[in-house]
Amino acid sequence: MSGPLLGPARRMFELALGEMLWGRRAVFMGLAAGAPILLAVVARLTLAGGSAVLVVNGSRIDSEAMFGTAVSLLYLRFIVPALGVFYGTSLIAEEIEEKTITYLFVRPMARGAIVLGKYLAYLVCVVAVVLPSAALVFVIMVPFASIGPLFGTVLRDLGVMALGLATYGALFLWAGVSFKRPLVGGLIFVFGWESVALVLPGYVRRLTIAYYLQPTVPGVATLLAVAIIALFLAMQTIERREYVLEQ
Amino acid sequence: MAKRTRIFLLASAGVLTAVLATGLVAWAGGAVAGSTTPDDIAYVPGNAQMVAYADVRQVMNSPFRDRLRQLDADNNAAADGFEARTGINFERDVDSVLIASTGRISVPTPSDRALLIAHGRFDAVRIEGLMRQQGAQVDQYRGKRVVAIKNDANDAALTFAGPGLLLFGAGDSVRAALDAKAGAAQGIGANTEFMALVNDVDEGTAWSVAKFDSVAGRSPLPGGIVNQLPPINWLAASGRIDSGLHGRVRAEAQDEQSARDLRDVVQGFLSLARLQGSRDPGYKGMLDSVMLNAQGKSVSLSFELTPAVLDSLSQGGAVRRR
Repeated sequence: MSGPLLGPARRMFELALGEMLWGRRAVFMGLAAGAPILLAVVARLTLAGGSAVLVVNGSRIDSEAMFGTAVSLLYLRFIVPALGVFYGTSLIAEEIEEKTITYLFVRPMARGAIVLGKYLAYLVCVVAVVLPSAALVFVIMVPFASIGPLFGTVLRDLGVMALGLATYGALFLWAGVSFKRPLVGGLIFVFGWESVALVLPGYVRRLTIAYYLQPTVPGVATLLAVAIIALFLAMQTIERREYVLEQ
Repeated sequence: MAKRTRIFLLASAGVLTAVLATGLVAWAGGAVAGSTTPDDIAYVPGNAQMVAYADVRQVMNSPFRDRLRQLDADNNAAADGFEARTGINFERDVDSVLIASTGRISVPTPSDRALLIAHGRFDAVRIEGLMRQQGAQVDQYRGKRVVAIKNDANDAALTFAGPGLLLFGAGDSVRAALDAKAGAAQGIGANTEFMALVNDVDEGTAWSVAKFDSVAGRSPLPGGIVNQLPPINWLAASGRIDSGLHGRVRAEAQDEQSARDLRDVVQGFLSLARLQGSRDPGYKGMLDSVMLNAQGKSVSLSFELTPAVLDSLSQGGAVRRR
């Protein structure tokens, strides 16, 4: 990597953050963050009114259990990986597809700074959307009396989500700078491979990100390591790779 | 950075901060005021296998108790007998009671050392007099006056450890309780696993935490079925009593697989119960309130006995008696 990194990365961060928050992809992010809130409001009103109960295997599910399910199934198994795939792969790949990568490369800055700035912008953007969404779902679904006892769990869940966004984002950013069609592969990895590997016996599940996001698995160090290594590899790859833009 | 981007980030941080502050306030409030673990737990020896607590005053004053009394108006003989032997009227004199056992509850052997710690209004002179009439001796132990009977048939001791605080049990148990309180022996408070379960259930009007081995023999289930259950380490139960009963039973299995197996077993029993009780509105109402959760090594089952369900059950019982 050549040249200073932090100053250019900061300028890239500010530029990319605005594009991400107010670009067309923001609609998807808004839906991903808003839909659970809407679902939470409906579920809470329905449960509070007693007009309906959610029954799983013949047992009633209370709102606290529903919040746990929302975190594990909706956020950690769908929203977090989906945002990671869509945004992570597009950070550089979109610039290549739209042939605007040249304008970034001709700037007097290290290519690694472009990747770092865009990645940090992605991280701030998705964290600023997903975490408040999950926090709002928590206060909507869980009765106030249960908020205190569950506070530690929610803090851990929010931390795991942030870590998941960071890891998926870095991994698919690397895929985005390395492969031509990263989105398809990313979707197959997240919704195909991870879903299958998690239910397979043995150690195969350790080859997924989702495994380390489970509350019973101490995966913080692994996730951090994957995120840092993937980001480093992405920065290295973009420095060395020649991008041939299709005419 | 554009102004709208800055505003968005501030709004996002604001929402997150507000929610976290709410959670922090709720958590701190719970930590300060929510822990209802009685101070009496300091008397429980470290080798206790079971601890149970009841806020007798709250139970006695509850509409639920009135309703039960109406249902079972004739059954006062046992309470009268206890008053005749000890001079203590449970309903009138006792505010709260904590019972600890250091042995297998099912086997009444010398290893079964139950200890009763009660708060209330006690006539110390009368109670001591009754004990002396039965041959009790008075001793001093750790600065407390211990009244004890020990012969072939009886091993019982009693002491007033503080104003309105009665310790009653086998002589060794009472002395062990005084040792634990004085810090001369390890108390149950040092057992973090046990205390974590106590902290989980102590908001109930009545609660109990027990080593599963210690209570397995008292299970209403046949021994053959109990032996087939997945390995369980701890059982905890709590109940909040007002106009109804809101109960929760929690089992800590040895591992997550055992917890899943246990959940399936309980699920099976629930399905069977639903099948049998589907025609009885009382049982159906109770079974509809049942919630079964499994998380990690923990399996919990909660239920509610609302006044309507109690009415329905009592009507069903009356019909069957006729």
